[in-house]
Amino acid sequence: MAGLRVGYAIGQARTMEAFNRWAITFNQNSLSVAAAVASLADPAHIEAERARNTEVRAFTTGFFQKLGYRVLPSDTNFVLVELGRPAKEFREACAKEKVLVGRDFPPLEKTHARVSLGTLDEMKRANHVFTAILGK
Amino acid sequence: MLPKESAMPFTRRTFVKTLGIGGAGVLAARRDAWAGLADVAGAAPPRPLLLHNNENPLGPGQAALDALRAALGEGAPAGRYVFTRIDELHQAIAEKFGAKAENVVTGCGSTQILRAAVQMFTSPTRPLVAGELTYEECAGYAELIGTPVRAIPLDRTLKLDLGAMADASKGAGVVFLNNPNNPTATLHSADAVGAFVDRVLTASPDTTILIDEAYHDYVTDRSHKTQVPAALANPRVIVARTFSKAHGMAGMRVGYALGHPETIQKLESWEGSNALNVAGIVVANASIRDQARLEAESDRNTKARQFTIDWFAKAGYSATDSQTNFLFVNIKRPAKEFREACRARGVLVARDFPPFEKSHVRISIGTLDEMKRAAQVFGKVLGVTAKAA
Repeated sequence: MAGLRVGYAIGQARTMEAFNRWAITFNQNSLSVAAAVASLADPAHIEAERARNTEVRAFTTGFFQKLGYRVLPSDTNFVLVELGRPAKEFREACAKEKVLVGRDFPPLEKTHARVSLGTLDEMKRANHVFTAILGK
Repeated sequence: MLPKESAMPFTRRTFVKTLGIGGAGVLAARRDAWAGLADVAGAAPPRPLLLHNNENPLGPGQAALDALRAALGEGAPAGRYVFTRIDELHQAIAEKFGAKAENVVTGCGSTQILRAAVQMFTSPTRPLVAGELTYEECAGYAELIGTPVRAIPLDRTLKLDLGAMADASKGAGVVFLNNPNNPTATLHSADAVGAFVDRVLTASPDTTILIDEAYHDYVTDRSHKTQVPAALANPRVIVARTFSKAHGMAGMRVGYALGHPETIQKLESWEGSNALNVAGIVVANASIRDQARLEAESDRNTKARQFTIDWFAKAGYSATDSQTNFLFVNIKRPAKEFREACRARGVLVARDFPPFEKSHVRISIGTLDEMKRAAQVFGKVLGVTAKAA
């Protein structure tokens, strides 16, 4: 729900009251609230999403490793890959092939690139592009 | 902090809390939220009439809702951040006003815009000047961040006292002008506002004039004009607008400001526009292009408003000359008494507005049919005889 803009914090009631004085909750819109509430009530979907992401992550990590690049152990929906070349160079080459990867992350921008995980099918397509670029 | 719009028996906060119970389904939760009101003794209609928050009874127009379905019918668009969509919305807003995207900033309702302006242009040594009584968002936020507030009483006709506000502007960070003014529903003409702007800028050149035109689309007085051209030309003038009123999008949280690029940049640097949600952006983008719907909505409100003003006049109660989607009526008794009696009969009207809470009530305008039903309740509560009603 990135486009629906819903986040939250959990803490002691007094601390949450301090947050609420800034009326953070009033920024929420009714559709997003409805979607978030429904999503919280659907843990099976989150389990399935977690399993899907884990599979894609293993596939993508394995792909980079086979090409000879180190991937930091990821517990997220992205991987940070040590490419040994500037992220900018890799990013721009990927963008030409319509694959967008993460921006520079100093101080690692000369060596590492952040790649978010899509669906398995998307990562298979992306890997063709990565292979063509990194194989040079 | 000053009381807020939402500090009401049935509020957004209550609603959100209710939604939060144990992850219950949304529809079930909504029924729960209504249940508290249905329990009120004598609540005749199953659903109360919500005449307390100056909302639009119809919501967004059909074209806007169609755009929403088209954009979010599949799940994926909601999963993406909104960066480029916000640019498109800024462009659409800019085009409507003959401006450029650099003249536009958006936020979660005008709330976020007003707060950003107070944040950026006031300080503990640069006060806020605001009417007493006006929309409280600016003063409430000023209090929260330690900015002093110069509260200027209304004039005898319950209009903002522009002369006194200009006199108080020297050294102020922001002068807040809500035109038309909530909760009094009153308007100042374009000539009066123009003269006020000149006077403030002469007296205090570093003061920012924040003009909130939330109810602009409901104005029927021909002496009114938007101050957007002044805002585009002058870095010290900002016009705030919202999609929450005539566009019917209070629940979608989209507001915006127009101004000089330097000023907009400062507002943007505080809140940014990335707080907007994709649904709100899509609906706003379609709604701002649907001029016919906006005009139809304004006409609908004007008719329902006139019916309600006339009803009160016949019953012997006078309202200010409303240029908005609500009335400020002298009911010659405490608002609390009236409000509670109305609530018991299924009609919600607004909270207290000191210093007028002993005599005046604010009533939002629903549909004509809703106002006819509400008038029957008002008649009973005020003891108005059948011939007057």
